[in-house]
Amino acid sequence: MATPQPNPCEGGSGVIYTVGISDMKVSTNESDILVTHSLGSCIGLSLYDPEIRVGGLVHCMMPVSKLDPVKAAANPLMFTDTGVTALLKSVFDRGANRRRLIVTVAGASSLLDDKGFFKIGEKNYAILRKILWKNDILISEEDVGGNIVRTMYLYMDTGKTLIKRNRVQQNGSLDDPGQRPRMKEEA
Amino acid sequence: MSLNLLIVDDSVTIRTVIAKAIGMSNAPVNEIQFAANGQEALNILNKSFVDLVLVDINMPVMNGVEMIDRMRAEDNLKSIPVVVVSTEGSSTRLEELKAKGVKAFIRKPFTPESIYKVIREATNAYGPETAPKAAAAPAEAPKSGADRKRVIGEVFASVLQNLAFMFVEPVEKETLQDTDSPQDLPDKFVKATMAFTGAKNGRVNLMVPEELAKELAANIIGKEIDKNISQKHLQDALKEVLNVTCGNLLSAVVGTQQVFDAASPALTEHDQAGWSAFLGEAESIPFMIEDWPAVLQFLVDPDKS
Repeated sequence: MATPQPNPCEGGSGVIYTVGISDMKVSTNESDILVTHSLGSCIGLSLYDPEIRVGGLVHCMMPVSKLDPVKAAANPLMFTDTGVTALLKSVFDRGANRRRLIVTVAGASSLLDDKGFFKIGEKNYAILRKILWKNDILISEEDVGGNIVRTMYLYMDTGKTLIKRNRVQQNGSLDDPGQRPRMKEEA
Repeated sequence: MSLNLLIVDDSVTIRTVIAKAIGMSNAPVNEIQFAANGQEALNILNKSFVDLVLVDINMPVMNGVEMIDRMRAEDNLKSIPVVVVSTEGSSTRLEELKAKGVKAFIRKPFTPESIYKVIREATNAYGPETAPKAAAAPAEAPKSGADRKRVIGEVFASVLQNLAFMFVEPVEKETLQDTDSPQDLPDKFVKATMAFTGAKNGRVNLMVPEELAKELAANIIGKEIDKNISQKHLQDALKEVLNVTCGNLLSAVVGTQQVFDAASPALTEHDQAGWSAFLGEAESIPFMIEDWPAVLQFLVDPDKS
């Protein structure tokens, strides 16, 4: 479950909802901020319909649910095929229109996989693309691949998705300079 | 401003995919017309108003280069912007196309976003980023047999992942030579073959189960597998997979300087015996495409001396 926390960024009445790994949050509240951390090889997807101000964020870990049907039945959000489908259904159920959706993708890094043996990030990204293609949805903005960890924020008042990048140090810790969440285009 | 577009490609799959990508983009489109070769395209251009042409290079009857030449020779057609959508990886030919005034180049496999971006830019002002560019040269030309096989595998995996969203793993022949339990093998296979000529001559062959060809078609077109996947789509999609694989293999294995022309792929149907015979050939490279077996051959004729 996404966990509500006081909003330290905006200083207003809004609430930050942290979307965990294998987790999703959909909102119609303009004061909400949805955030997901630790996007390595996982895939993060934010959707926002600016006309009716419905948005959502999902954080999926593995590409396809058939790899582990038991876990997929327990939590479909763990897998990109079922998690992305769940987020799409959720925003469509609240009246979002696919032609209006602002779609942002982050993650799909190749962390701890320098030789490209597992290619989890690549596979997560390809499965995401397949689902969006079959649903007639274009990606508006993306920041994927590489060897970094990302954090993704969806601001429900503007619909903007911000992506913060962290490099991974040799000792495994994250290089987080602590700056404010920044626009991807500023990076 | 509503745009009138003309898509020229001998593959119905690619025409469908480009039209779908345009439809997804909310681009202000009035009409999309289709042609299967350069001659059909010229007929359309001479009797209707078109704002932008998206054209393949290798096509039967009249190829894309000749079509562009004919357009440039006619006063009423020479100013229509042309975007090339092709497997072309030859830097020599790309320079030639650029000199002919081609506005942008999209290399197959492409993303729907790239189609949208090019149409948006090609119908307004052109930025340098959309000018035709040569395909990236391989870091190092493969020399040994094992290295060449690895590069072929990487190219094939990249094409399948980007074109059909499917994952390819190299395997040993023994894994696919399931002679003890033939019931585990699919009954029907389809083999696609295409020849190329130019700096080198050769051919590319790909054999897959018919069921996999259906899945490829569904993914490429963006439909569910049980809906609207006709035999024609299945066959056309497999031809396009081979076409894109061939174009990318020529760039990666032979080089980006040379110019090649490719014939249209041909298909033949095979049973389990045909599969085993093809798999057993020395040049065959076996793969698993998710749950299905597949065999690829990339054959380059020895240089004449």
